[in-house]
Amino acid sequence: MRKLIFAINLTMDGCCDHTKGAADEELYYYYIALLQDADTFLYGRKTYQLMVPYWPDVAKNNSGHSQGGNDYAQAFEKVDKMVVVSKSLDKAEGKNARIIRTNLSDEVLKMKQEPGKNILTGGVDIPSQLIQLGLVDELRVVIQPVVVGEGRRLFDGLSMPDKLKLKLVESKSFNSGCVALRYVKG
Amino acid sequence: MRKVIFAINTSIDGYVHHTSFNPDEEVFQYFTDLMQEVDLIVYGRKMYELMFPYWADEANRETKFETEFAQRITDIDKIVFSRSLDSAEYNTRIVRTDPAAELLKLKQQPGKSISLSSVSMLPQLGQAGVVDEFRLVVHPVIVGQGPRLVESGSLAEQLQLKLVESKFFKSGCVALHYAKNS
Repeated sequence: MRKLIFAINLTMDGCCDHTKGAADEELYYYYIALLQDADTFLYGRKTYQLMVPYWPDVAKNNSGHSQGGNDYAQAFEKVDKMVVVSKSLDKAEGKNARIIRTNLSDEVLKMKQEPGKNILTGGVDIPSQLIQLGLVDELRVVIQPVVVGEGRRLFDGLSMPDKLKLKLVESKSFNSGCVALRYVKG
Repeated sequence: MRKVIFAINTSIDGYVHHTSFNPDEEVFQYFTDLMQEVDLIVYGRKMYELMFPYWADEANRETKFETEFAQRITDIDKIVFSRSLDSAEYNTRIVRTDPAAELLKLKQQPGKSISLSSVSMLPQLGQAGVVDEFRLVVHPVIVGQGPRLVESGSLAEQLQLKLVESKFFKSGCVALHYAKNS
C-alpha cells in the first residue's frame, strides 16, 4: 500500500500560517525531493487554490523568485494527479484533477491501495481529518526558528480520544535554522 | 551579563501541558544538565506549584534520573513571581514586582545562567528581550488541545531566533536550542 504523507512548515509555537515564513533554497530542495517521490496531491479547497494556478503559472513562465522556486514549480507540475476534497468547488484544473465530495475515508483508502508513488497532502483542515481517521502514514514538519503567537494552528481542537504518538525517523537542520523532522505512525 | 534560558517540553503541534509527555531518562538528563548551567530558577506561580512540593518529596522520585533532576531543582535558589502566594519553601523567594525589570536587574548580577520556567510570562519577557536562549524539547506526539507555548495574540512582535544546536534522543524527542537574534 502506498503512503500518505503530510508535510507542513511550522513555527516553534505550532503556527502554520503560510505567510509566517519564507522558503529558502535549501527548503525548496527538501520539498522537491518529497514531490519527486509522489504522484498524487490530496488537498482541501483552500490549499488547492493556494497552490493552483500559482505553481503551474510559475512553471510555465519560469517566474519563481529564485532557482529553487522555479525547480519547485517544475517538480509540482510533474506530480501527476490532483485530488481536491471540496463540497463547493465546481471543477479542478489540470489533466488529471478530480474532486472528492463525500466519503473521504473510503476514497483515500482506495487511493492508497492503488499502485503508484506516495500521496502528498498539505494544508490544515483536510490533513487534520486524515490524521483523525488514522490515514496519514508519515508526517514531515519543518520547524522555523521563530515564535509568532498568532495565525492558524496546526491541529486546533483536534478531537482524538488520546494524543497521537509518533516515531521520529529522520531529522535534518538547515542553514536558515529550520529543522526538518520526519515522523511515522508510532 | 548572565543569560536567561527558557526551557520546556512541547508537542510537535506546540502544546505544552505536562501531562502530554512521558520524559524518559535522556530527557531528565538533558534538563538536569541544563540545571547545572544555572544557579537560579525563575517561576511563575502556576509552574512553581506544579514543581513544588512535588519534586521536593522523595516519594515522587522513581528513577536515578528523576532523583538527580529533583534534587538539583530543590537545592537551587528560586524566585517565584506571584501576587497571591504567601509563603514558599525550598530556597524560594517570592517576588511581587515587575518580572521584566527584576530579571534585568538579576542579569546584571554575577552568577551562572538563569532558568526561566513559566509559560505565562514568556510573551512578556520574550518581547522585552530578556530571554537569551530557548530550549524546546519536542516530544513525538500530536496533542491538538490544551495550553500552548504561546497563546494567540500574546506577542506584539514575532521572536526571530537563531538555531544553535539540535540533539536527538532515542525516544524520538528532539532538543532544539535557539538563541536570540542579536
